[in-house]
Amino acid sequence: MARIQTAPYVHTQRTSLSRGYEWLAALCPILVWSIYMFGARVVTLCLIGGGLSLGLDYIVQRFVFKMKRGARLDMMSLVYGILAVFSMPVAVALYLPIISAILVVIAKNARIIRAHRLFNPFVFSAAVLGICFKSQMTCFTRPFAYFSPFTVSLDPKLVEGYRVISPLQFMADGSVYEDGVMAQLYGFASGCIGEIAVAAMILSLIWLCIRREADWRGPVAMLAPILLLSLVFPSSDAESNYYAYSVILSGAIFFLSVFATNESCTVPQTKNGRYIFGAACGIIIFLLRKAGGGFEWGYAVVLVLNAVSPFIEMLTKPKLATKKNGKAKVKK
Amino acid sequence: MILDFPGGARPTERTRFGKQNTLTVDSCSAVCLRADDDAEAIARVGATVLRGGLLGRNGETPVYASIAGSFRGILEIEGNRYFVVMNGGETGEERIHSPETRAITQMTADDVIESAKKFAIVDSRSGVPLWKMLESAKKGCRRLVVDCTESDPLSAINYRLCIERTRSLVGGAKVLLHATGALKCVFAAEHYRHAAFAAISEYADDEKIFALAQLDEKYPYGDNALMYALYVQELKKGETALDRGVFIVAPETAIALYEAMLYGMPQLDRFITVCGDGVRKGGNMRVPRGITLHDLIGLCGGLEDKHFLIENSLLSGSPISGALSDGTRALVAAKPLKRLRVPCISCGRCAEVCPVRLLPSEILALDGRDILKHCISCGACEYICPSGIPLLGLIKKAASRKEEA
Repeated sequence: MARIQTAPYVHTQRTSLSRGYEWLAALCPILVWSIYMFGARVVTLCLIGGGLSLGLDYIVQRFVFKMKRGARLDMMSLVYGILAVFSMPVAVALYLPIISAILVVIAKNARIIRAHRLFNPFVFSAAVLGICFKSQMTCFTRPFAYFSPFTVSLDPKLVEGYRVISPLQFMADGSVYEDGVMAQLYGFASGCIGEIAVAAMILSLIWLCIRREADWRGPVAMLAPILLLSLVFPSSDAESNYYAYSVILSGAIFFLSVFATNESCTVPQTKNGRYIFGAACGIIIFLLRKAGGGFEWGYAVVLVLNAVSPFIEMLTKPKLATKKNGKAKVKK
Repeated sequence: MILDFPGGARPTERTRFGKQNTLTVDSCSAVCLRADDDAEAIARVGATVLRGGLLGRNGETPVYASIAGSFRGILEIEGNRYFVVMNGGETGEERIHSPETRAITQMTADDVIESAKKFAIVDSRSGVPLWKMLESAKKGCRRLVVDCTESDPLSAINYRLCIERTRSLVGGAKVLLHATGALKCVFAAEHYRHAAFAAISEYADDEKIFALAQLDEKYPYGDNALMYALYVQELKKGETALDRGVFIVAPETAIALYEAMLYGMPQLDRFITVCGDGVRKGGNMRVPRGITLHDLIGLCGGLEDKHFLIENSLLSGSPISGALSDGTRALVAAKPLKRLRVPCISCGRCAEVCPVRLLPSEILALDGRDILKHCISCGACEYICPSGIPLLGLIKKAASRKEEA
């Protein structure tokens, strides 16, 4: 007689591990666009960052958490590694993805309450690198300036020759990106490897939504307040609608709205909680940019809200069906 | 319009038996009919009884032999008590009651209750004798719902009954409408059961009385889910649909009542689907009430290795052994699942599928009070969990620990 277990006796075929493949597929359009824009060095950076994240996480799962065979290789660590690389400029030294992989694995395995991670792994990595290697992380080069994929540290003079100002840096100076909104939308502006490819990110989001791995409401909840507030309170001489579109298309806003609001372990589980999380991210980023003057607030705000997401979840727990007033009768 | 309810799982597999006619099985080696604590035998032990012969009583409900054979008395098998009839080649049928000749309008609710009692009609959704349900409905009932949804997506028996016995189904519904005093009858089935809707609407053509409800393809369809999908009402734990004036029965119950009154024969057979990968020759079957699972599985060509039988639903059913019970609508062969077991990724899918809107993953933390209090053990959360966390198992364990404390 076979060993009898309790119900249910059927299980969905979609597992936490298969989820990683869905996300990897979602990153493909961004990766392809980034390689087209910045050359083969993107591949090297992604291989180092993603591969090392996967390997280190495997070691942690096997030797620290002693996970069973089959549950050790989590493709999501590869995804986080690549996303961390996507928030770097192409001209960074090749040791930066190594550091980012270590940071990703630390953040991925640091859990506070139940399943909640303290910080989103790739946002944590990008934020720490942004603080520790500020000059490298803000050194943007013009598109189609292909650098060697194998040089560990690029010659600073060479990099300086191709250096340009990113749309976000334009805004910090009180002006707007001159090449137009469409250039930003299609991803022809300068910036971080993955952050510029807005059109490709929209494709990724559509894919993730179709595969039920992401929810469009999170990105919309984050982008909508920024768009509205930018329309009402523009910070430059440009037309307010042009300014507003530039705000959501520049920097990490779109990237974070797609990937940070859909990272399940660091956002509230409840739908309303996710709305609040997204909206709070958007509003706080806008306010800090307005009040603080600086424009690099996106990652910091997401990290702070990651830490408070368990509380948002507690506040937005759905009202129990069985606790509702049950005096209604079926109508005649 | 497709009606929906909050939560619920959408298993991807569908039945293979939707187009297969119901096969009648009339021979088996023994039947074991459930005997309650207050059961008493009327037939003499060792006597030969014919199909339809009176064996004894479960309280006020008569128990009839569903096959001809030798009555072995009330025996205890695997902790349960049964009226046991062994077939040694005997044949024959006994008709104790005469068919109902009165028009339905000439009968009172008590007359229908009496008929349901003397013909031993049982509701196959709940396993409760129909007369007891009708007695409860006396306190007030406004709607009759014939729940034609399947207990499991692999099952197709209710669908086949809707197609094959539509006249009896609609006739039974009319009798039940009369008995309960309900004003309207709703036939509810999964939205893709077009043939069933077409067949029912042919016979139940009075739109003032009958309605068809197309439901979303989600499981499990319990009273809570039906009440929400049809009337947007949520039942409290422990509350029944009847408390809200809704009388829910299975199609088999309506058919059995109508045919029993028409032919004067008690309910001696049950309709079930035997399905699942572990069954060699499954299908929709009409089998003698109380047929042993040994006989039934033998008729289906046996079970594959390492498989066991689950009653009604893979999502929330439990293993069954011994004989077919009155509340069984499907037997699904399952095998132990090899689940991935990784930490919770907080994806929130368990919360999305919970019909009572709990956060099932809270059971992993200290704050699981609401879950223990309100969980209806539907199993949807554990089914959907991508991390393979045995949420329902943990909830049940925590509940039993709480009870012990």
